[in-house]
Amino acid sequence: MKAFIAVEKNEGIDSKIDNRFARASYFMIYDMESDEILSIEENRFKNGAHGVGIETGNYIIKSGCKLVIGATPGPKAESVLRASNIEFYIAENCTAKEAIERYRAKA
Amino acid sequence: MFIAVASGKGGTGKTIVSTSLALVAKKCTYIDLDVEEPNGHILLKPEIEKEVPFNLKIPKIDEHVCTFCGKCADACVYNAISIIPNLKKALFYPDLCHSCGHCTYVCPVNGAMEEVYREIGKIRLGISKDIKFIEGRIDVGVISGVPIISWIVNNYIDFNEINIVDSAPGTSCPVVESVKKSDYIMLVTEPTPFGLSDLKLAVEIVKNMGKKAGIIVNKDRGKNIIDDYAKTVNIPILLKIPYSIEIQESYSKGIPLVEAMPEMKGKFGELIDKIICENGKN
Amino acid sequence: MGKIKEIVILSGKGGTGKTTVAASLAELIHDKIIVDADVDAANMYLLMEPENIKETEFKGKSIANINTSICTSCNLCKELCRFNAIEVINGDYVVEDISCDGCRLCQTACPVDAIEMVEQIVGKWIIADTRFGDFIYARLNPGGENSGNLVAMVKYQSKLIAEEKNISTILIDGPPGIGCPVIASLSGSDYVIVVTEPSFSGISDLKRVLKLTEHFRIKTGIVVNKFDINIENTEKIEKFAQENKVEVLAKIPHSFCIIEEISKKSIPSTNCEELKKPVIEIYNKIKDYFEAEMAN
Repeated sequence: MKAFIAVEKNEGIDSKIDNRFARASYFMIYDMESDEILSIEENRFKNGAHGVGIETGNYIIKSGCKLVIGATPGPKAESVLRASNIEFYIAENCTAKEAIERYRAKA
Repeated sequence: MFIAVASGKGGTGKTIVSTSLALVAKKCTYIDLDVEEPNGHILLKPEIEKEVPFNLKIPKIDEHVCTFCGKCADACVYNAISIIPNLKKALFYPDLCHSCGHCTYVCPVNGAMEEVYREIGKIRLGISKDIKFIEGRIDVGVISGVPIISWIVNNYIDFNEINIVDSAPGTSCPVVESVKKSDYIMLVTEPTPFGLSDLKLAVEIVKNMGKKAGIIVNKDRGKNIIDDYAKTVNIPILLKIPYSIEIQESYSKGIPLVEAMPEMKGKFGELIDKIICENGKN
Repeated sequence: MGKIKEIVILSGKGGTGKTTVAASLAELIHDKIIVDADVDAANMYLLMEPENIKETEFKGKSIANINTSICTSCNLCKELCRFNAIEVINGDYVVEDISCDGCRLCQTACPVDAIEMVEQIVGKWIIADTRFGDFIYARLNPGGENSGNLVAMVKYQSKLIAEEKNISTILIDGPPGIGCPVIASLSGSDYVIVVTEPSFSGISDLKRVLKLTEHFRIKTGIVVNKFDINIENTEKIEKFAQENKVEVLAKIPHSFCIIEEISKKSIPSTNCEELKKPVIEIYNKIKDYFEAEMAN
């Protein structure tokens, strides 16, 4: 399963979760089975005016990720994720690595 | 003829000026294009004869026909569409839609997308004494009133008559749209640093559009920082309305300036005659 | 650190005294960043005396440009454009910048790929130091429909600074009206102060702004400026506020002192006695509200 993780910097698995969701600085895609980072990209939607939550939501849908890890999403991002039945795990003030561990622990 | 009344700063007295002009002009059309907060009706108290809903076209996706290819969402620069292929869902966000028609144009499936109407505001038509009254008003929550302004300017202005248009405050799109086709722009300002700062921005628009203009100084208290500025940009000061608590009080009760202060009636009368005379009718 | 609190000051109707109230509150709130989000007609800088100004160009939406050497004058773009932005001038098809909405329909439809989208610089945003703290404002070149975007940008930048410097409050002087720039300034904020005046226009516009803040579910308080110009209308506002469960934070009397101070580019609450008490009332009531929220 692929997970989408919204992070603040490009520091691999130790990247800190960004405290913004749709406007996070980087988008990471992580393979939960093989424990590999598939990609980390700069968020080019970050500075948009309207509908950034939707843009990010659309990006996630296209990426095929079934799990999203990040800060509390705004209403637009939330509505897209809900409609897509994509699981959202809220993580704040920790690294991507810690967030993944916590997610696995709760299951 | 189309006289637009504008200002950079809000609250300088555009509506006081525009309604005063309408009341002294001999037969005219008053058009309120301050569609976010139209207030002309408070002073003119028109009898409304007709209320026309204003609609914008928006897409409607038929999820039974749609193949969820996502071309519409990709085409939409406003992010108003989300397509979720594996769940066969198509989401549309009307608040973000600019009614451009791009999505419907690129949809490859016959019948998957049609355009329907969404009401975003109203156009009210009425009469006040011998003034024809037209008002545009957007619904609360609608992002832009520009489509209504555009529609009214293109469909309701008879250039053979005198049209006095109250535009929105500021200097951005709604204002530009309101004054684009005008023959003359009256800039209403107040003699404060804020008033001057915003007047300069409004003058930039006037100059960029090559329009003829004049300045009205409202809330005048004597010494005036607008006078020197007006000279440097070569725009005449047409009239000064004194700062007066009585004027503010009567305005707060919805009484037009030329009724509250008869001496202003004469001045506005002269002003409108002068402008019509100097600029002619189209 | 608690969540950053965003307070926006709106008015609906222009000229009711937003900037006066914003500047006066700026004096009282200690740990804050001030944002002037009235990007069409920014005025706060006149009172703030900004220094160490750092300007950044702002790119608005891209607009269409037709390459006339490739264009075959098929007229399709002009037919399709819903914004009437394409004109024929001296036989050439030209996009009118002011009218172009950037939707790209013409680019998609053009059979010979003669249309490209060009980014434009539509204004700038500015970060500065003032004796009140960090100050962010912007200038939009007159005419564009980019106000909402630029408002979003200054708010975004203010959040970045607040997070970096651990500042607890962002105070935003908002635009007039209820359209795009106002919606952009409201979005994500924690409290809206609506400054109104006791005229029929003021009341009418107040109601429309309140509908907007209700739609976005943001806690709202009202300030009645120049309340003594029309006591009857002030009472109407108070009654309306009560019926709609919105707090009246303060009533400010009409004051020549305020006008004089602004003319001198001074913060009015510094020297105008009649303004001091109402501003402290506003500050205390909002402070109480946030403290109660934190406790929950």
